[in-house]
Amino acid sequence: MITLLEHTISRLRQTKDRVNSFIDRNLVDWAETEMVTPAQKDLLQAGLSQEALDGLTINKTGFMKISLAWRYIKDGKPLHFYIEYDTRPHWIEAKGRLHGGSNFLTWEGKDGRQMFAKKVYHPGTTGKHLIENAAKQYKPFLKQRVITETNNFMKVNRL
Amino acid sequence: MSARDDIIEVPIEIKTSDLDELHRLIEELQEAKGIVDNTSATKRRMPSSGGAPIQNNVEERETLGIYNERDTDMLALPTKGRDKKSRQAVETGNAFKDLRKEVKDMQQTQDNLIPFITQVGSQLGFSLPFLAQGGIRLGKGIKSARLQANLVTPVKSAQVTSGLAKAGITFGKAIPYIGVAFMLGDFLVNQLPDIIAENLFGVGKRLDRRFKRVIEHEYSVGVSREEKAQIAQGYRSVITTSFVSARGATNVANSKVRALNKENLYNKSEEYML
Repeated sequence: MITLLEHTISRLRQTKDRVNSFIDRNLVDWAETEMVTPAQKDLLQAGLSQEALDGLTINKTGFMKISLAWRYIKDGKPLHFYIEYDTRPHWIEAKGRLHGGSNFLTWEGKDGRQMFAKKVYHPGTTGKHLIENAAKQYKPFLKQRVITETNNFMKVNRL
Repeated sequence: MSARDDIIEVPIEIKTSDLDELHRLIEELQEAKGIVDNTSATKRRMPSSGGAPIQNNVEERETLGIYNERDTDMLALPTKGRDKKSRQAVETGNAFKDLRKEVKDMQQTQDNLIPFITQVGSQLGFSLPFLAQGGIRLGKGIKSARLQANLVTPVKSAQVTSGLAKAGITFGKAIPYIGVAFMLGDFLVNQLPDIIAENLFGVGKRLDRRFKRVIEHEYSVGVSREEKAQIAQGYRSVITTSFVSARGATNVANSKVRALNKENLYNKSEEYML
């Protein structure tokens, strides 16, 4: 009786460990298929450049833990932050020739005229929360994939 | 959602609820094991210390069940002829063991008897020709005895005497053929089918029904010089296994699909392919 119980306990533990390690081994691949690829398609349609989409990756952060990560740096500026999160209202000033820029800011106005100013007030932007939304949207697909693959694994290995 | 230095990260953690249930089950089993351990280790309480009274009447305690072995062996340990301090294991009686022993004895008896019968049969087969010769001698002896008897006291009819003698001789001559016919019959009926079956349907023979050897599959892979060179130089690995799923990615996928479709994993026609 005791031997049988011990045997059952050890077998259950073994099964749990095997399934856990199987999921851990393959989680990154599954997440890339189920989350990154469809998210990249959506973001491409939303107007992001291919260069920006290349920064979207899956990182392994621990045992059975991953993270959907995005990093898009252009000219030394972390653009991914500016796209993802809100930006506060702020002043934009011309750098000046002494600092390697120009003395005036210039842009095309609504009526088509060329506008010049020493400094302008930017009202700030609303964050698009692209990554957060993508993670929310595609998490259920990853979950389903994990369930299907685990069931297949258990069937094949007769666990 | 977290922003680590210069990167935006959304953490995702997989929590397997079923496996948590498994973990709970393990804990419950562990508890059950602990209870069983404690139960077996607890000393029995005697009636004097408040325990249940000892039941002496075995008939009352007897239960109905297929696993009730007390029908034959009421006591777990013999009460007589045993040193109580001895740690030697005591083998208790068991009806099933007895039955098994009986069957074993019968098998032994049969094993001893069958060679004896066979020996007797073969002796008989060998002695038949000698018996035939004896029959001839017997016939001749009858004839000579009759002739001698006729000389002393003539019988009613000489033809009867000669007829008997002829019959004896004829029977005596026929005996070897009868023996040979018996031996031939035995050979044709008993031994020849066995020989044919052994040579055709035996292990590895042409009509062995257990597997069919496809000789092309066995040697074709290794005969090409180019392939041999590749193997020798280590550009190609040879997996010698009968397990289909261990032979490569294609077969792994196939075997998984087969397993999921509940098909047979072991395709016998592929067993000899490397």
